[in-house]
Amino acid sequence: MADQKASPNPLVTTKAPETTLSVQLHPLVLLTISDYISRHTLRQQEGPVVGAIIGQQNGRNFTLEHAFECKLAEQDGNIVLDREWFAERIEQYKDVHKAPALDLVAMFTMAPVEGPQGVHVPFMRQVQDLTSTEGIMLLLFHGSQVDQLQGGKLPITLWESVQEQDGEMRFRELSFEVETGEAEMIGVDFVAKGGGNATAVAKADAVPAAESSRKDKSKGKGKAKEKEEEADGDAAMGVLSPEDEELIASLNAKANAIKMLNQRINLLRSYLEQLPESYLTDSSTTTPPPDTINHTLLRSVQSMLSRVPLLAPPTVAHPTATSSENNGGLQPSSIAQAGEKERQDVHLTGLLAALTRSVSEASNLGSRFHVVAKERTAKERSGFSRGGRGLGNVPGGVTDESLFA
Amino acid sequence: MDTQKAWEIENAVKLVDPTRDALYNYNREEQKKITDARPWRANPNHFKYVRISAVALIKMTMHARSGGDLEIMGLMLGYVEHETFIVTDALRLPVEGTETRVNAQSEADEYMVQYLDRSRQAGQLENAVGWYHSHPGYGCWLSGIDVGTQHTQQMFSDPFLAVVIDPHRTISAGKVEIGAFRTYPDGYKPPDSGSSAEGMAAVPMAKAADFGAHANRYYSLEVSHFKSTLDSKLLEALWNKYWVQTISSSPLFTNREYVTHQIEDVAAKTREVDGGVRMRGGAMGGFAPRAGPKGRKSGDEQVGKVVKAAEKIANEERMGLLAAMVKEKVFAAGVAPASGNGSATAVPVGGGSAGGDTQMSDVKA
Repeated sequence: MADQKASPNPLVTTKAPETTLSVQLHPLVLLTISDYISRHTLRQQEGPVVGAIIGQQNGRNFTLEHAFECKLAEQDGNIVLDREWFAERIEQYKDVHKAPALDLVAMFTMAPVEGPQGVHVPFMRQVQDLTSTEGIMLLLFHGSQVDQLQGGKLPITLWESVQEQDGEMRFRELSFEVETGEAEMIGVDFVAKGGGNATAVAKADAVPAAESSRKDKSKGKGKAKEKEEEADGDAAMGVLSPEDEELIASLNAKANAIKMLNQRINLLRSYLEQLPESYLTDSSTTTPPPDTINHTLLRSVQSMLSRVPLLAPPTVAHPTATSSENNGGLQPSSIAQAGEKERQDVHLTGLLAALTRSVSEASNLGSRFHVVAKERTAKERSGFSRGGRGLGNVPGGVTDESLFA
Repeated sequence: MDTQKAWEIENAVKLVDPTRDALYNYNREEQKKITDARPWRANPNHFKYVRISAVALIKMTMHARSGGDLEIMGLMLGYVEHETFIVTDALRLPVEGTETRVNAQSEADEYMVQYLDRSRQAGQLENAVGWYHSHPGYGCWLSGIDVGTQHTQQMFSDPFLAVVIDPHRTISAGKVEIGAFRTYPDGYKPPDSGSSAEGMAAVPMAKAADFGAHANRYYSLEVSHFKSTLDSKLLEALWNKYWVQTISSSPLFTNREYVTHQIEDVAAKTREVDGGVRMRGGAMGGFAPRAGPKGRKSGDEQVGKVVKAAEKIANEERMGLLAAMVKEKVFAAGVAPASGNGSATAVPVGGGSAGGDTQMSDVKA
């Protein structure tokens, strides 16, 4: 492998692809790989980290949705998949992923940043042979990159295999984007927020004799509790109802996302500010723009800016309409109308909930009043001057209070 | 061996912290010792905590959601430690159906055995420590059938755990709605008869009887989750990718159907309570109860439940509206919602989005 480090990776083709693949990676795949690596290392399991990824294929569109580790075998000095095991395993996964149907789309393993290695060739050949498709991709996890992740770059690369004319297999790097389903996003978010490393923690009230050596005693009791609180955001203020805590958590998520948006826009701004003056606007300059300018980036900034007014509802987009207080002349756009309707619905539910509560409280009051009235009548009739009333009030009163407290 | 080395050229990198990631380890001898000692036999409340790995949690949540209105079911792999279940992985079972069919164990048995066998061959040594299933829209608790299933499992393959996930509420609340339960052995009376399940107020009418009848036959465990150091790093990088969705999601729209169902349910409950009140107070008019303190108490309880359910819906809706308003504030700067009632909810949003507002308009200008 040493010679490959110096020169560019001979297994990587630079030839432009005929068509481009669109690949969407789901975070679960990444976390499954990470989980596998952690487990593999700690349990000191032998052999390389290798697994399969299943997803959907729709023409040139792929999704990478689930991953699982694979059992390996040796064949002619090469490490390959255990055929029988793999065939059965993939069937097991297909069995439970029927709608939408998922099938094998990629394999994963760990590799240096340079890309696929010689050993991956016989392996991928076998996979192609097993599945009788050529489109199986290879996802490489670069462990050495993990500690220097910047700007949201993930420590992985994705490769497609290409059959060269000389009969050799080469690899071409693919771009991919991260895509999450709704439930997946909530799950990932939930996991990301909740504190918590995987330190083995002995509960303080556990049987002392059963301690194992890897306990972190200082964190004993109440650890799980703490964690839960962390997960709910900064709810340490004490008496917050679960509803309030949910609200705070969701607002926090929004705030973080907006901060992120802000950061990104600032980044773009500072980049744009650093650029030299445009030579088109100032006709007196004769110096051509330096070559270092990233035209693709500028072009996408430009296209984004020109799209913004299109996406926003018309009454909002035109500065003239927004600056004047009274835009009664303009018909509100359909999206604004829909939003208004939505808002009314929400307030209606709120109102109904408040009404329900009022009714319940009125009923509560009614029944108490009834108790008092009954007591009074009884008193008047019998002429008792004391007792009864206080006691009579208690049972109903207490239960009612506790119900609505 | 040469090939071996070539494959593992990257594996030498230290990505794992043995102390902080200790839960990812597995000690077969120790597990055997614990299984032989069976401390859970002596104390019905022995297990108190559940710790679920990031992967298992996300797998279960996604599986639950994929089922839509159908209940799905799967198994959890892991081990036990003291009073805690450690769930390391989850697998789907090829069973799907309404709540009455979710215990179709036998169909899944063969699949399960083979799957676990293959897992072990690949080096995943954990045993099944529990099962999970979904309750789409009716909260995390055990139904009569669930209690039966769990009871059997605890008799024959203890330590065993039951986990319930509500995918609909997960989406509407924006956080994973999950509950973990164990049943009590026959004849055991829990010291406090108070119910252990969460979200009790929001159990729909069709399920309320089922919920009430079995609520004291099981108890819930405290659920928390864990992730590895590597996971944390990746999640951090991922956040850079998926924050967009946090802003762009519109829960009001995606949950419309679910909310409608909930409102229908509350309406039905209200009718029932109303009928009850009428019956009791018919002769005297108004709210005056005739049926004595006991009848009135249960009537009030029902009203209380309706109130809670209604407020829950209102709250979820309000959060959805907040999401929409945040979006509006950030991306359609300049048009403030003019509705009077909205101003109360608008207040907390204004501060948070102010930065975003100016930034956006700066770029546009």
